[in-house]
Amino acid sequence: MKKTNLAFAFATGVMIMACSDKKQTNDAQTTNLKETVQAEYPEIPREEILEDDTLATKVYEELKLRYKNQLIELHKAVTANGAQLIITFLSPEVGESLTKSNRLGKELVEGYAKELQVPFYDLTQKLANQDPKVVTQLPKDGHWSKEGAKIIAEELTPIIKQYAAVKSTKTFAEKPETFGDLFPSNDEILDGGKGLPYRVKTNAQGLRMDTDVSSTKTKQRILFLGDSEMYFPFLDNKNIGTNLLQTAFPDKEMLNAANWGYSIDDYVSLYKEKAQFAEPDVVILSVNGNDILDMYFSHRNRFARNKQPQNPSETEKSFYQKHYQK
Amino acid sequence: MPFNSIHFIYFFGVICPIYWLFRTYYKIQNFILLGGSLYFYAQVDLKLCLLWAFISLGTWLLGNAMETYRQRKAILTLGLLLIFSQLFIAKYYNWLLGDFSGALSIYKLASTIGLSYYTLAASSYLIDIYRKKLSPVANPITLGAYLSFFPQLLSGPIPIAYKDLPQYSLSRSISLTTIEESGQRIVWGIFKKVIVSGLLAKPVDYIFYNHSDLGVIYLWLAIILYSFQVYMDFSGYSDMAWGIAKLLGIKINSNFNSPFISRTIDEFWRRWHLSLSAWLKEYIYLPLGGRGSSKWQYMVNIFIVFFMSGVWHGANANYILWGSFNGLLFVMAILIDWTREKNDIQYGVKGFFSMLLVFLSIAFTRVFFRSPDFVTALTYYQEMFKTSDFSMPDIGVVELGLSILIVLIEWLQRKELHPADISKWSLPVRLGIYASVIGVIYWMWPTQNPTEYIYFKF
Repeated sequence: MKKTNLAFAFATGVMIMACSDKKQTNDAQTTNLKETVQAEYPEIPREEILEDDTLATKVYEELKLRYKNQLIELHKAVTANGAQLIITFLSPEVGESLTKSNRLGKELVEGYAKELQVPFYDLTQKLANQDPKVVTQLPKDGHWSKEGAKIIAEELTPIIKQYAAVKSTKTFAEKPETFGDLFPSNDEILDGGKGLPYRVKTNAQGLRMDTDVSSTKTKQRILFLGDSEMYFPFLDNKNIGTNLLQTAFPDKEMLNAANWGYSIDDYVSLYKEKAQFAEPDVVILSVNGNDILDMYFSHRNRFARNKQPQNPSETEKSFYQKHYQK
Repeated sequence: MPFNSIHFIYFFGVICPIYWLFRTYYKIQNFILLGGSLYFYAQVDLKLCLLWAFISLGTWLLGNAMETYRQRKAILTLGLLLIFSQLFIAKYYNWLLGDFSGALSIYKLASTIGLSYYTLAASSYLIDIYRKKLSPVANPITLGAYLSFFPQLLSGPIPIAYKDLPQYSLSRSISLTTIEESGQRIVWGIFKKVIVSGLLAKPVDYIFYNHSDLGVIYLWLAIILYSFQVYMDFSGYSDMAWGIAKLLGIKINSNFNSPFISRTIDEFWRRWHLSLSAWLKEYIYLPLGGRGSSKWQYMVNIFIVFFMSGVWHGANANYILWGSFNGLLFVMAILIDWTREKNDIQYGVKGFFSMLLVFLSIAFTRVFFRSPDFVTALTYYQEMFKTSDFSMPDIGVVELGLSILIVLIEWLQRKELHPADISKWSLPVRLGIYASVIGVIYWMWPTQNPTEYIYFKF
């Protein structure tokens, strides 16, 4: 009987170990700190920030300023390397269907671009004018379909041609191992939990592209920074906009460093820490109007690449308490 | 509450010791089983428990009524109507009622999981009493424990009343040998379900979703991988169910007997989803006349059984087509005399090619089973025969290799009662194998524990 109990206890122990949903990992303490802040502030406000009241206005002003400062920093870093920064507006809400936050955000970013003398292009015009029968977005999710990605690539084509002569001036003798944040040399089937399986291939430098960036630069390099709109989830590599452009421009290298949930502060840190070492000549930054709201601390803590937690400012804290901690 | 969830481990960890505390009182054990099973089932939807209670109580009353009153046939008809009307309304609710669903909103269930299985068990109970193969049970708790038995409640194996119910009126025992035997099945089941089926799901989902973009060989690979996935998923679940039931001293039917080593279509169906096949044979095929006096009657009866199997799988033309397609395959095999006797255990080179042909034929029908609708299935079939794009797949190769390895193990173990049965081997070897398999499971355990089972939806 003793043996029986022992065997039973062992089997139960093994099954409990095996069935636990997550394995123990030795993540850095910073991740725990970030998780603590996230747990304390789980909600992410959106339209509430655009409400017509003094506190909300104050929060939005703070977010605008934060966004603008980051954009200035990115612009400085890109121009310091002799490269050209281009801003493109890309949003699944097109034409008349722009939400308030997207419309306001678009006007602001366009204004900042003008101030900084950075070219600004709206890529949504052609999408808005499409025959409604053409499905440009995945009905289940809202991200770009194959057709949508094709139109985006077509919209980007004349822009890329326009800057064909641009060459960056800075070269780097020492480079990091990767230029992007994706797991390098990966070939994986993902479905984002939505039943839309797609295949993500990354190159050795952690970029969403099929080929590695050559060690010696012989072609013009175009770097794409953006969030999921430029990452093209739910599409295989061969169907994403940047790969279509790569096929159209064999004399250039299209470097896709976009990633889910990223915003302007991520682009700045990603560019400085990794992407600039790929020596891109043109940096195409994909923005949408919601990027301003994305600067809210609880959104950043959920999605930012920075492992350090972002604590709320006094205004953000008051706003959060007013809406979620009544 | 799937078996491979932490919630189930806690549940079983509480139920099992309490259950064995009363080892000499099987009636109390039945009570514990009933209570535990209803708690287990209520985790899915409390309304499902109420429906279960309604059907079970009706079954018990009508079973006893058949013993008391002379109108046995009328009572049986009433009972079957009661059982199958509930199944039909609940399972085919949206399809059947559409805009008028408000009138019967009580049947709007979050899931109909388990319903198709215990209704077959309940109907088997009534039919067996009618056929005088079984006496009705006097105690409703006994019948309740049998109909709700949690290891087989959600996805079978479907019991046959006159064979399986009597053990609920007997005292049960457990030994070290039983525990080891149960452990073998549970571990093997976890390996097939969580590891192999989980791995297979990704390339299968990907190819079926993106089929229009992929080459011919990808599409053929997907039907092969999907056949393996269904098998690993369902047989993994069934093995776990068998092991868990055995740990409670109840022997439930095996659902599979290494089906992919079959050399003919009829042999395949003698090895695949055995409990459903047994139910269909006992209550549809044999009453229809079985093999009958002519080949034609045999073929017609076989086709009806497969058609009914398709209907049982769901209110969807694809399942009916899948069942019919398999029925046709079987009929064709009868026509050309491509059948095999049960006790023929010869495997040669010819046997290997026969196995391959059977596997591919069955896999081919799976497109209907996997596709969301008829048009998608038809498009998929068309694309499987397109004459361009023969690019070699660069996904699913490891998964294919692993699946073939399991079939190979099953072939090597074909003379044992079950592929996981290694009781003939010495203790140190067995311990080494257990440690290795558990180690592999732990090492390969996916970050997201796959708790969805393909056969839960039926």
